[in-house]
Amino acid sequence: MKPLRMQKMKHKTKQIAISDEIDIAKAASNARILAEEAGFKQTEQFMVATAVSELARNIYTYAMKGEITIKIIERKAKRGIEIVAEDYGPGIKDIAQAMKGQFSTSGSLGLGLSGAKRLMDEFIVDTERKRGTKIIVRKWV
Amino acid sequence: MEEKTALPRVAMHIMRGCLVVPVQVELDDKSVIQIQKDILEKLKTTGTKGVIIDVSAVEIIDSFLGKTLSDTARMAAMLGATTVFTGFKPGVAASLIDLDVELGDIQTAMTVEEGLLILKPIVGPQELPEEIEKETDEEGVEAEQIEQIEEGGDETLEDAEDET
Repeated sequence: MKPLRMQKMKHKTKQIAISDEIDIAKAASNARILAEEAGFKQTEQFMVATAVSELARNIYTYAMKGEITIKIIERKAKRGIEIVAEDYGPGIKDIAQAMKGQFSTSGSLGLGLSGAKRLMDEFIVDTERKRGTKIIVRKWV
Repeated sequence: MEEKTALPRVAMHIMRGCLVVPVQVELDDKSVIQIQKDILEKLKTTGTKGVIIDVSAVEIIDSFLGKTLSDTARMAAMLGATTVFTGFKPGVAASLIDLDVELGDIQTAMTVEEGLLILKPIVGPQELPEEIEKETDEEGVEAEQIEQIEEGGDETLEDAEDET
């Protein structure tokens, strides 16, 4: 492998609007491609893609509309991938409950967020917002 | 063809007394539900006792897709059929465990061939007419047989579509 920090990376970003069921799969496959570009092994590419699938599903199920932004990131000598999942829906009332995994107000599985957290290295929920939900997840190569 | 060409359908075929379902498309909600319907419909019409769902081409199975697939195996069980999933990729397996999808009761195997061996005692001696024409050689033609599933799948697919 070439030393990564030598070359200035053009930070690739991909935005996917989520408003239809099919956008979930679209976001996931885009995430897989960017994870590959970032240098993740195949097993981890699938895990990143699955996490994105869960985040996109979360948007579609609870807010109907939102956006997934996928970015290759660098921190010091590390390279990774960052996904921002944002919507303007009702928001998550009880984030602690939602993270437990069993919680679901939509009749869906409710495993999504806790699963996405386990699949990634970092998981941040922006709780400052009055409306909607913003979740940032990262995974390092 | 019918107007719903936008939705890729999975070709399924009877092989050695088992319903073999090679999932060659990347799954989304609609297609996984369609696969579930098609399998149950096929089980009802053929009375097949064994099902193999081959997911070796699938890269992403999230909680919903995983649950729908495992539900399909449970529904098949209610119709008297045993399901074996074959070809889970390591990344898919790791993801499903992280997602905590309830999979404790599903049977798996590495390859379709292994899956057929698991199901052999369940489906019993084969006397279904479908496979007499399909079966050329008992052993060593696995790859060819898989080809046949894909090619021969269109007929079975149309059958299924007629009924929906």
